[in-house]
Amino acid sequence: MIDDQLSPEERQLVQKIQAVAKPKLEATARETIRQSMLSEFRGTLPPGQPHAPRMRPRFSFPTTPIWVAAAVVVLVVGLLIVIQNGTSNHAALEGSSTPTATPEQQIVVAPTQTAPVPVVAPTATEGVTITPLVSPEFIPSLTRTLPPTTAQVAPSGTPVPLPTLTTESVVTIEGPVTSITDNVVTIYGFQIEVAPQHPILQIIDVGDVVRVEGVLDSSGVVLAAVVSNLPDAAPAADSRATVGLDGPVEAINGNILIVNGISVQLAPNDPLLQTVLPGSFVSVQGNFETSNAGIVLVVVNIAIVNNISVESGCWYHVDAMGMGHWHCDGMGMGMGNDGMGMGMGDAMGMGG
Amino acid sequence: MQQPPNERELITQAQSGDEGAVSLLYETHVDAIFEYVRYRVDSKSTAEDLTSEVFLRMVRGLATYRDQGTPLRAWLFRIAANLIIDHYRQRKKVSAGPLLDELASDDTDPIERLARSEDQLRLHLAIRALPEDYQDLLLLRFVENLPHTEIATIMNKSADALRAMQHRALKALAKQFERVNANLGQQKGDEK
Repeated sequence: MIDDQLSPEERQLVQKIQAVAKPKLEATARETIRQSMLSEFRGTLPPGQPHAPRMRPRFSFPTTPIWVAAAVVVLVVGLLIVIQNGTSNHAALEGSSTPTATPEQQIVVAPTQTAPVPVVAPTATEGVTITPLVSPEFIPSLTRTLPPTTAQVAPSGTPVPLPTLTTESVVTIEGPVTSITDNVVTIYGFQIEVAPQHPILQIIDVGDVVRVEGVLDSSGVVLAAVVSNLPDAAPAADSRATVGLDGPVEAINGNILIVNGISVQLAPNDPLLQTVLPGSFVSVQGNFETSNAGIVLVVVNIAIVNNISVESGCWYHVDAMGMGHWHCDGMGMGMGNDGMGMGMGDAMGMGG
Repeated sequence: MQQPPNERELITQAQSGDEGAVSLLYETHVDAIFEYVRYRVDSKSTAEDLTSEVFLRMVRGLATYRDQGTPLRAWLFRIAANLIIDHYRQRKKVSAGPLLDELASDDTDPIERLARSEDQLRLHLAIRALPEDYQDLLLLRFVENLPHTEIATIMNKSADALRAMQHRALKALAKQFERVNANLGQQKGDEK
């Protein structure tokens, strides 16, 4: 039971939330996910590590007469081969001192020659002792800075691919809706294309303050990925800035940067002007204002983040706490320094 | 915060290759993860895909997981939250009707099913109209019943900040409920 200090109205609302039936995961989907997970799990086990005996009865020791007979045949054949080899190679084994095998090969060969009979039987029946044959050079080296996804497919020594710069801008806009035409919402003169089915379209009205995150395409339209309605009473996390813009600097005119076609105005004495260059990738938070030159984004916070380049499919994100970080497709989700023992996110490059 | 009974042991067993332990961890957490994800995305299939990805990442990360006193579910919810952020950033178009697709696959009484789905739909619409932080907080606190300290770990905020945010989030949700009810009521009136 929730023991928060809630007002009667809040408590009523919470009860309403909790009374709603929870969405259920269907049995077929549940099993599909489980099998997919277990398949992945088997792939993550290092060579030589046994799987769970409870879940893998096929690895249990044979008890049926057929298996016993098969084991006897293997034992007899193995014994005959070893006796034959032992007879013909005995002198060579004692006298030869010119090994040609690699260390990996020696690990495998030596036991079968010195103690042939006891080793052969368990190898044939348990199917587990073959794992030492795998050369250690194929074991991926897990480092703390690599997400596990990458570590599984990258042999040790494989360099982490250096990302390349993307030119697409991620835009965050908070502001009042000035018009809604079908699925196109206008804020600060920016046209924001929302999916026609998006539930937000049923809720928002002209004048509402909304938050939009999306990508600014070449035609100047923001393709919305996330749209949320900001409640009037809720102060923004950073009340000084309502717009976020991440992208490469296209031009610098005095204290004005052009970032993906948007004029970004810094204070004339902003020290960042000493270091920023065309091509620098910047992360800006600020507010739109109208000036003689049109709409400009007046900077509240700005940071150059192009010392970390990212490949296509990566993007820079400033979270609600003001921490900037990169996300990349297929590289795991970056837990960052989460204090949870995972340390999965360092490879993303913390750009905050 | 302490691990639920036996979870620490299960994690150790899973780390040593025990599939049974992995299955038990999955069974323990899959429903909560799916519920949370389902409220945050538009379609059931997307929720299933993201839930699957959460557990794929769990098994990939198990080898390096170190117990620092935080329940495993906090880690799983954090993975889920990050996947949802990624999902929206990767997708430029949003599609599919929220929760309505579940009507077809439910085998309960049709009238009860309709009422239940409509309640879910209203909650879904109202929650989805909130800022992401509010969505996370309300779902984790009041749908999944997680303590503030655990939510603080998932959302990377202080518990005190979350308690303060909770009042604003509930107020915003109440307002959205009103708007959703008004809009859906108006739509029904139009249909008649």
